[in-house]
Amino acid sequence: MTYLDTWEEFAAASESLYQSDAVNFRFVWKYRHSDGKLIAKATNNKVCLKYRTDQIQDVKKLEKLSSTLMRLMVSK
Amino acid sequence: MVLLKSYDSFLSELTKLFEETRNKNSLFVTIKRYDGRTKPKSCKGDKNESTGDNKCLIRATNGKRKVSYVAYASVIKGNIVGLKKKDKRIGRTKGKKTMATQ
Repeated sequence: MTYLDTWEEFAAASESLYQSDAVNFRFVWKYRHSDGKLIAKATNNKVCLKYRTDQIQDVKKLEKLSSTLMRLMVSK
Repeated sequence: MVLLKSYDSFLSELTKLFEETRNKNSLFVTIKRYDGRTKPKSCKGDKNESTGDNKCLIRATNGKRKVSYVAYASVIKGNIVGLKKKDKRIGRTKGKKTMATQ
């Protein structure tokens, strides 16, 4: 389990993780309103990448990464 | 696990989950690739062939109740707007909270 320091790093690593093993890959985000925390996780059951934030601007980045991943999942 | 057939009912369930987790608990949303297989792959000869077209499985849970939705390519492309809406929701509620604490 690795917490990455920047979102850019996390997004790039998630995308390449998806490319390497598309079938086992999943992307999860957890939102905890009471603590004001958002944790995003990308894993293929072997490698696990995580990113933790309490910043509102990261929501937009999460949205962008989600739609990129979803587009990758339905394409091909 | 409730698999919802329509995108609108999934969104309204998701909104409910957001409201339920307002004061305690967390909301989890998972996306993964889904090929239509309902049974695991057999080691000898694969009888459960995947349907070929890729879909995207979206699951949401608050740890107690689960909802899921299978999105097809057309749905995803046509509903990016809807996705934005749900993500903005987080932003709004979060924004309110941070303002309140200031």
